Amino acid sequence: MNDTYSMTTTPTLEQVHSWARVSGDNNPVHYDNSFTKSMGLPGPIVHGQLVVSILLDMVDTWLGQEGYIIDFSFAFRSISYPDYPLVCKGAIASKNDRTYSLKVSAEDTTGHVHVEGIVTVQLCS
Amino acid sequence: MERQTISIDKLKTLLHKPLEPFTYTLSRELVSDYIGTVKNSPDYYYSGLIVPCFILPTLGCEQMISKMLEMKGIVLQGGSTLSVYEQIPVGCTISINAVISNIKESKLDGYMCIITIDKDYYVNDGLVAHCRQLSVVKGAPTS
Repeated sequence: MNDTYSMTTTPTLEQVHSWARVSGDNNPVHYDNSFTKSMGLPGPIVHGQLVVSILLDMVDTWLGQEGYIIDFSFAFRSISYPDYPLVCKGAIASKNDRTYSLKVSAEDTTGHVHVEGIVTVQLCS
Repeated sequence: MERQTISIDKLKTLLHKPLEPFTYTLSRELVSDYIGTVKNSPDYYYSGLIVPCFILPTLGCEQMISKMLEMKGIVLQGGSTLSVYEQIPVGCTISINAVISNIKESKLDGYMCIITIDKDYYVNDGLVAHCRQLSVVKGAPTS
């Protein structure tokens, strides 16, 4: 497992609609233009949990067959909008035997953090 | 979209009271659908044996969100933590016991309340995971 990992992804509006369908999270803030405008937002927003899932999927890819996620904690710092790229980053923060703690984040292209968290993984023996 | 408005007091009546358990069958199709969405690959087929843990916090979301959406305001995610005690096999049935464990209100910068939801996940009556989620409702009425 490398010490760091990064990738860039751009959540799309279709992805947001698909996430609403699969998860059942039909909050109008994710699809209703007039609602978001009435709330002072420029348009529908990406589900925070979708951004977390993208980060966790990145960790799964980073880990490969070497281990699995046992714990995570995320904080949502900023709203993400469809069609704006997110730079997803991960770095090993600490190692304890076969348990690694990873610091991960999703940032916009200016470096502003949208979601950040700690993921604990257990490496297979 | 027309929505009903309820007071925060109504939501508070649910505090610390176990909600009706939610049950899901984590079929390969459902898991594939989730992963395909995350990877933005609609025809994705998941051939693995273990359910990726990122799916767990979203289970039960439908029921919880619908309660919060009854409040006039904007519902946003504040935070999410998950501990997995056992790997969850694809195809199993999972049941979720959820409780609203805290409601904190603030009026410093407009009305805002932070709702904490704790969820326990069971497979065959064994606890397999625990999740805590914070949702933020902004601009909701106080009465």
